[in-house]
Amino acid sequence: MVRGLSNKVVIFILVLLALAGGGGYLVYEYLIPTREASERELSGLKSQIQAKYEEVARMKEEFILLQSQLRDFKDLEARGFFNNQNRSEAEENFAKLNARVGILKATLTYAPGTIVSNQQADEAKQMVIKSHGKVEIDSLDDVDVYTLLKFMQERYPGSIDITRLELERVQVLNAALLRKIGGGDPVPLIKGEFEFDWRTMTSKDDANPPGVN
Amino acid sequence: MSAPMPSLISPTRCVLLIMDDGVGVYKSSGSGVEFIDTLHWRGGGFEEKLSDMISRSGASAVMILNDAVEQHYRKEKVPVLSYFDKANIIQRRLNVAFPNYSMRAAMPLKAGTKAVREAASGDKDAAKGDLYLFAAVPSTDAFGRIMTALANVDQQVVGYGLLPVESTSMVDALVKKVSEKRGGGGARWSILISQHRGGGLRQIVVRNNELALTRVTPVVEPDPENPGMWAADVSQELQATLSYLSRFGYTPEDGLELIVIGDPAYTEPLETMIYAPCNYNVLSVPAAGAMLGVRAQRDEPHYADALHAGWSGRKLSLDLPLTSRDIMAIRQPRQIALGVMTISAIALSGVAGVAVDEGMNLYATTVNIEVAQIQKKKIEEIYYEELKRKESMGIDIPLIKGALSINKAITQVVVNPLDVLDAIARSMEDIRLDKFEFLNQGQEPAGTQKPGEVMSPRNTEIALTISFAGNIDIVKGNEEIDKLVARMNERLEKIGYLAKVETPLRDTTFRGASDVEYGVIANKRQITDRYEAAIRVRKVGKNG
Repeated sequence: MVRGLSNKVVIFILVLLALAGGGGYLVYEYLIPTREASERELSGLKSQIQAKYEEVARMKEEFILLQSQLRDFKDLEARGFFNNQNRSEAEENFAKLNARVGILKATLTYAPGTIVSNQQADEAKQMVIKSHGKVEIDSLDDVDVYTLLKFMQERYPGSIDITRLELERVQVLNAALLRKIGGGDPVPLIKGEFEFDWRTMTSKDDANPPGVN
Repeated sequence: MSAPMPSLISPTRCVLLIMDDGVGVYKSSGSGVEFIDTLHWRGGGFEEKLSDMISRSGASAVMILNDAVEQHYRKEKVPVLSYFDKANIIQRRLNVAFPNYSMRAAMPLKAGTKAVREAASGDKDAAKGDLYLFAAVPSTDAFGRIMTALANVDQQVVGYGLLPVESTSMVDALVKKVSEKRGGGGARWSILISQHRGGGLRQIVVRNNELALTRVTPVVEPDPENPGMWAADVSQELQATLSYLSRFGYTPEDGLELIVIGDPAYTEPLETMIYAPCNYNVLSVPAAGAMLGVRAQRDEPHYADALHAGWSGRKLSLDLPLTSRDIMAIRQPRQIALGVMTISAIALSGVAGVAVDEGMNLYATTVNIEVAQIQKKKIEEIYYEELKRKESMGIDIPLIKGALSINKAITQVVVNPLDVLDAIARSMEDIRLDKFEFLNQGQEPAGTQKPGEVMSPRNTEIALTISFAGNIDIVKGNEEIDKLVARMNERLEKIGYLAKVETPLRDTTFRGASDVEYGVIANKRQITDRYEAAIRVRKVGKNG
């Protein structure tokens, strides 16, 4: 086959070369990629496990935290934070507060409510709704107005955010006015108005009840 | 001169000793040298038998040593040449010196180097060029038969050397050993006498550690019945050699170390027959082998051919390898094949190493994946259990978190006007407000904020209007207003507000305009007129 070399030697060399070449090909073409793929798979699995561990830890932590938050949430719920701002109920509530305070005259108007975009509310399948209200007041005493405001902030469902309040003393109390008032004629000494943003959360289903578009 | 390798790592070689009547086959290895057999030229199937012997010896390489009579030596002075020209010039000189012999070689003699001869003579001009030992042997039919036998086996061919040249170092080593043993100084001349299986008596004369003369002569076979006959024959040959030595510049003052290897039964009588002044040493083959570190496996005290074969067989390479086309035709392909095999083997080992490493890594990764999958399954179980626990408790985490977060965001920005009005009211004392306007406007607190966005502070302010009677002392009125603002700020600063006089009753500085009526009518009208002052309260603190 080759001068000076026996066939046995030549075949042996060829076998060696074939083994080295074939082995190298197998190692670099299959073994290393397989090992790399396995390592990637392992790395991915480890990441998933780590993420899951963190999630479980977070859930446990949240659970502990939620134990304390749950009370606040219940308070929030009791304060009517979850309210769909039904206008008739709102008017009725205001009427009750007004009657309790004894305002001479209060005119309440609500602008159409709006939805405030909030991601956390979306995640909870809820939405934040906001209604801008305006109240025009005639009163004997400014304290009545303050009382009404205090009641609204404390007893109104959700959050009342007073954005504007204007009061003006329109009359100075004197003997003539006092007689008039004593005679049963309600004479307003204070006139004013206030505006507020009323915010509550409600479920998306509540906001779009069936049959209402 | 190539020194023999330590016996432990010396390679297993088959040494072919070419003699005049045949070829001796020896196996040299770390465990010693073993005489296998002698094949006579005249025997039938010579090539096949030799090939078979080489194959069965288990040797990886073959070394050929020429111990025949026909060996030609010549000392030649070669001028000092550049490194690149040296090989060509020496080859050309060899061709000229031995035109009829195809196998030739040359080696520089240490004693003949220019530097040594300069030092000896002290004359730079007298010592031009280096001395070389030129050697050649004829390419005989017998050699061709050996080549044919070698072509039929796969062993490497180490080379083709001349026994006297290759054994010169052995003589030198033996002389050193016997001198050390005797405790005497070294002689300049040494003669090694040994009988080989072919019947020839090999004499190697070494001067200053280099080959000076060699002779191979037929002598009688040793006869146990008459040991003196062999000794007498040898003494005659030695005398002849000594007579040659004088031609080479030998004088008795130089000193002569004579080593005779053989059975002491034959060599000891020889001492009485030598009249030349010398240090006479008799060594049996095992004794000489022990001195040289060459262990002859057969218990042969007399024939020293195995000793020569064992000594040369342990060398990494021959001192004076003879080259010829026939040798190269076999040697070169095998060397290349060996190189390729070595590289392939290294590559295969490397690949195997990488494969094992990768395989182990893959195995470890696979095991880790299995463990990780079990871990993942467990953690998922824990996760779903946790989820189920919360679901069973009726806790809607997103709702709770979202509602509290939104409520917090709203609460942080919502301003209760009653707080600031209370602070203002407590500062008023006798003064009454005519009018006030509270404004609290800004960004929607419940909206989703973009990452990094900071909610801008709300604009919270209260405009207070206070009126005074038209007949009041303006300066005092302004002072009252200033005092009121100071009182307010004492309280307001605590809750993050700041009050400032926006409009005094009247500006009494140079900036203010003046329009005043005087007289009775004017005085009457002043009672009904009102001065108005304005105070603005702003939120300066952060909400929430």
